[in-house]
Amino acid sequence: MRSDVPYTALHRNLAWTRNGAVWAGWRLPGLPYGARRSDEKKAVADMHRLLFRTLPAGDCLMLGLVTNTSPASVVARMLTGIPEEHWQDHPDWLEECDATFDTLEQYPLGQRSRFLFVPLANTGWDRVMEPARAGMERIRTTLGAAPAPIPAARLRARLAQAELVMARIPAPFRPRPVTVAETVWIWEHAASRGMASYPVEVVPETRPHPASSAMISAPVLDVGGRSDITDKKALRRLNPLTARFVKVSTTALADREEDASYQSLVAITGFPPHGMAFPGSEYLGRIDECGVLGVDWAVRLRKVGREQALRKTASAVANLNDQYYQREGAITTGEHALDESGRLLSEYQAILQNDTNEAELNHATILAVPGSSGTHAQEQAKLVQQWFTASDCTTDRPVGTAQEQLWAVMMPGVARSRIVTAYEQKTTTTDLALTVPFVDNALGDAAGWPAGINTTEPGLLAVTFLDLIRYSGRGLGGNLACDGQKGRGKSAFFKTGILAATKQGAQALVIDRTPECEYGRLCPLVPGGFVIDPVDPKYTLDPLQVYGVTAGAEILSDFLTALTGLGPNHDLGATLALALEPAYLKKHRVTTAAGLLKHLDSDKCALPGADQVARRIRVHAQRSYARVIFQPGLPTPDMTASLIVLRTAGLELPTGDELARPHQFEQMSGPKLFGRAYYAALLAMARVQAYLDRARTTLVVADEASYLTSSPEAERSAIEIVRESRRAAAAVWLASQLAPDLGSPALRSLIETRVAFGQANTAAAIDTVEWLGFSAADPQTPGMVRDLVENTSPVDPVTGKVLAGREGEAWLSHANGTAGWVKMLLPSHPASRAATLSDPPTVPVGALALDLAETGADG
Amino acid sequence: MSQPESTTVMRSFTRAFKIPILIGKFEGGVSLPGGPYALVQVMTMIAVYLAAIVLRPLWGQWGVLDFIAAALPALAAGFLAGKISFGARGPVAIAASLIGGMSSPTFGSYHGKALGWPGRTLGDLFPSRPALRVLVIADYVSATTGLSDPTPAPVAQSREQHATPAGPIPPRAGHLAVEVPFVPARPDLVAASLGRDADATRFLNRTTGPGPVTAIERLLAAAEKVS
Repeated sequence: MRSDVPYTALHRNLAWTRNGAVWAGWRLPGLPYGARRSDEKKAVADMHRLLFRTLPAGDCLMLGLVTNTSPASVVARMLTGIPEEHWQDHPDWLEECDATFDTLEQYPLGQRSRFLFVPLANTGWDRVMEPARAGMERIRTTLGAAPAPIPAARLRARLAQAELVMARIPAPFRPRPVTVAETVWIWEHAASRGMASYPVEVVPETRPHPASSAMISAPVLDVGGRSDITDKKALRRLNPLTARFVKVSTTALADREEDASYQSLVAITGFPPHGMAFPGSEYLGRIDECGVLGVDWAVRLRKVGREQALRKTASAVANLNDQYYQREGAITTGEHALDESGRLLSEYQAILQNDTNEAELNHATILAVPGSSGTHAQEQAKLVQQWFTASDCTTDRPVGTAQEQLWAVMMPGVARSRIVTAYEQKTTTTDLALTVPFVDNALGDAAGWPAGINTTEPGLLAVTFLDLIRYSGRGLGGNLACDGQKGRGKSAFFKTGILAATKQGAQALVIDRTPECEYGRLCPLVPGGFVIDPVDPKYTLDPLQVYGVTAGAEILSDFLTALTGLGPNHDLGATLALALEPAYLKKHRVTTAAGLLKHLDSDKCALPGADQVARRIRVHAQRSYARVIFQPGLPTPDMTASLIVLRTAGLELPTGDELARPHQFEQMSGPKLFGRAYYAALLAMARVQAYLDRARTTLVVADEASYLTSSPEAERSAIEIVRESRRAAAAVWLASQLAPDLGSPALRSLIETRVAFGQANTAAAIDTVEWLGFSAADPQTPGMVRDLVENTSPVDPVTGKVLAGREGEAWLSHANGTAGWVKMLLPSHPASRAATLSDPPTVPVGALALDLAETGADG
Repeated sequence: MSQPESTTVMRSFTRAFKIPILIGKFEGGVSLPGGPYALVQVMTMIAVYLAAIVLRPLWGQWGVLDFIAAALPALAAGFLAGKISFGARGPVAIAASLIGGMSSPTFGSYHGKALGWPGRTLGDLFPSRPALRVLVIADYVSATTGLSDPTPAPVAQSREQHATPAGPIPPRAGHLAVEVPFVPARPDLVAASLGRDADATRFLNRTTGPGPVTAIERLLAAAEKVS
């Protein structure tokens, strides 16, 4: 029995086959899965159970095929957010795209495409007529006649039938009918496993198809690679036991100047008797963890209704009893295998009897393991088998023509054969659902900046995009918070993000507390970027001068209230508030903070207690640290610049303790009071800045956020920006070493996109995991805590540096609900990359470079 | 046995149904000596015993005792057969696969047909099967040529078609289709004529000239023609 392309006709997602079955196919993008909470994983499994229960009884085929991602498609996604006519407005971003293209080219990026194929039931007359027509078709083919056309009415009936099956697939799976092109592609893909394979372009179904011709490259299947052996004697000596693979070649391969694909087929033959714990049992969802790239899986399902399944248990019981009888004479301590069978049988019967919606699923799982040669394919297949053995599953890599048969039954439209029945495993819909075949580990956004490589599924590399600047239009906030130990890559990640955002036209206001002014290094890369340093001011930050009297008065009010501690309910506070009324300021022609001070001191000011207010302000105004606000004559900065770095390095700040106790607050030193007020002013400015140009996204970035969140006024402003981030097209990015320092519970819960870098100790990691949404009761929590401490950018205990090649690893929990592990990427452009590495390359803080970044630097 | 609540263990019930069949007793209930035996063992023993009896003229010299002597190799073979694990598929299927694998066509098989030297396979005695055809039924096809219709469908018509549940199929279109021949008619002969060293596959592939080659390219080219 040799396998062949079984189709006689193709139309949309339908395929007529030579044995009279009409198959319908859908592509399922997969439910978001990745690494997430156990209860969310359970919900995904439940959705699969629903899918299996709604499938029609009988045969069906699930496919998971590995495809490559071309660097070009990655770069295209970097540009999707920008209309093509505006590309030229962002030359720096185009340069970055160009550089990304080069660096990604050496990476085997891939993804999995999942399909579901169901043979449509032949009902009524069709039960006889379809096989008869198929038989006629075969005769016609043999005689060389043209294929018989399919009348429109039958075409429509089948389409309607397929539509019904599709309607029953639960909506979250988002099934899309396959196209003829995809059906053709599946055959081409199957014949070229192990080689570059790109998913076929999808012709939108809303547009009527043009009449098209397609040719399926029928494969030449060579069991054991006999055509590779030129010597007749060697061919005779060929040991079929060591040639358990099939060599596949097609016309399509020759078009690509490639010879053949070598594949070794493996079937699963058994599962651990004690079952597999979930999460962890998802051998289909996690197949890429096996360490071999490009393993395709196919599951041949046969669903049997509950009633019929129950009837079968009766005969199984009879068989079991007979075996007890037959084995009576054996000398043994007991029939343990039979006891186990009996236990399972009784459990199975109980499940079916108690759950009226339950059904029996017979599933044969086949894995196609590719290799560069027959030997290589077999070695790889052995690795896959070992991976299954490690989880107590048993597998079989059959000899001889069984390899070809297994290859064939992975194809849609091919009728099930005896080999499928031999490998079938019996279980229920509930249990098979725990293998979650239709899940996707996609992480992050569909487009944006390539923030990292998704390592949730080790082996199959995918680029994780983040688009935090075009978010506001899509109903999600672009706010971001991240925590992690110093030196694990937080600031390099922020700098990469800031560069990506500013190069795409956004504006970033960065509050930089590092003594080295890390973020200031980005300024030369961003046109117009500048630093404002209160210790050595080159520009003024006097709100009245920067934003004018109307907008500036509000900021100045926040600043002076925090500085003097005079709230509006205080007598002097009322005076201050009245003096800061824009109308009042205009009336007295006050246009600077220094001018306000002068006015309050002068006779022109008739407000009660004005001189006392002035005195309180003057305490600070004369000090060197306050020059950035009060020194007259400093130039005004261009607040439309793409990058504004606001240094706070020299400033002192009160501790949480000092803020909490009123008597300590009274005794607070001047610089601390100023520091706190300055933070309040910066955040108030950020708020105004966000509303200045609502077409342009404003990022407010604060590394070492504990300084920001320890100022109640600053935190309040931050919360407001977060709340209004959609309306104002603004976003707040906060980073801190410890999760609790990321602000009050309100602020922390409002920021939905969270990144956790490695932590130094378990206590910090527990806080982080809780902040990421994992409860202590979640069975995955201990593992995550351990991973964050020991396995996320681990530090070499001798050198104290992150191990080479392990830099920038983090957990990403995205606002859109996806979550998983990523390895952050640096910018590809050499100059940008150098700027993101905050310290000399010997210091590990920014040594985030993936090896790909390194190679990019060389080239 | 109670049913476990909220399954978080994936169980497989195959073992409840796939029980290795052992035969330990005769029909009347008398135990088989040395039993129970697996089905394979029983079949092997019977086969070897029958073979030994049939071949008795070659070795038999003790008269009736021969029938007892023949049991010795049969029992030995049965014992050995019990030592072999056949996995999920059973000995017959495995043997068939092995034999099939060893006698596989030298150049593989194409369209379910062996590729090899002419005259070596049964198929070569008969005229070659014509190329296979797959009908690709498009939604819009020209009534005259059967090829893609360059003129777009009228708007009104397409609207109406979208309204029907079956989608945009014009009533007549189903009768028309593009038929596509699969590649060459007798690949085996051509391959063979190139000699044993020739890469048969590579030759098979040399079917098309310039222009779109792979199926996808054809499809896309066709799409371009229309749009």
